Amino acid sequence: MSDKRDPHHFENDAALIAAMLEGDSTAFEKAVALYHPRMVTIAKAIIGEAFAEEIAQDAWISAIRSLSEFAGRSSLNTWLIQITANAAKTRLRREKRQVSLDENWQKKETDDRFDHTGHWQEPVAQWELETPEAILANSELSDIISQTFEQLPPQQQAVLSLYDLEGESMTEICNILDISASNARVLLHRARSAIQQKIAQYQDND
Amino acid sequence: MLKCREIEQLASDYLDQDLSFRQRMAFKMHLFMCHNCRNYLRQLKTTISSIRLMPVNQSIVVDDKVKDLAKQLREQTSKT
Ligand SMILES: [Zn+2]
Repeated sequence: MSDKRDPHHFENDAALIAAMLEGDSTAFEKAVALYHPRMVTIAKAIIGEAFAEEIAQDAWISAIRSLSEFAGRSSLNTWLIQITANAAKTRLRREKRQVSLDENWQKKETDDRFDHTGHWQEPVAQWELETPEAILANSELSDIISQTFEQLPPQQQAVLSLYDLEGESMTEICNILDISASNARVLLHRARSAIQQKIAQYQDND
Repeated sequence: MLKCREIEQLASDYLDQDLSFRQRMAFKMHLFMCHNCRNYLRQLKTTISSIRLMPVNQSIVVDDKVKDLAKQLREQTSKT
């Protein structure tokens, strides 16, 4: 269902791009509101916090320059993510110095959910809110989920968005972020697990 | 025999069908015997479906920061 009164509503990528090429300011606002946060996440995952905003803005500028040549072979989202990832990787090479990403994912910290024999410390209960619909219908829980998502370390957030929200393949994700398949899988599981633990905490206390 | 801790670590791979046949069998064997891990797996599955249902595309926020960048980019197009 489309709401024709919403000035920021565009039927699809093609309509949005056409409006942007005509210089329609609401089209630009829509595109920035929708895609800029995702581009910043990708940039952060590759090059870290410090340059991410700048990289994303540069990526926009090069995207806008070639917008008329964008043939729609991929989605606008995928295309923007690729431009951003390339810009971040180029910058990373130029910076040469070690950019410190805020996670030592290789480091296997002890997980206090398990005892020394590898069994669960506490029994794992069945959730009272058992379906995703029931969980998202609970406004506190749905806030907890989006907050946890926002606070994930950038690499985890990027992998989770690309895989679970945008349905990209693992191969594509590894290309975009320049990480190995096993890293990507670990990051994905960490991210999902962080959200699962928050939901469990809420459901256990209720 | 896999431990619960290993089940936790392999759970996403299991749900995404990314385990080898052998690993998959060992995983299922543990699930068969462990009530906690069955519940855990169900929690993780529900979590993933909830994440996938998150309303990311519907809710866009057009604040001043968005407007500024949008304006800047629009001016860029008219220059070229
Ligand atoms: Zn178990």
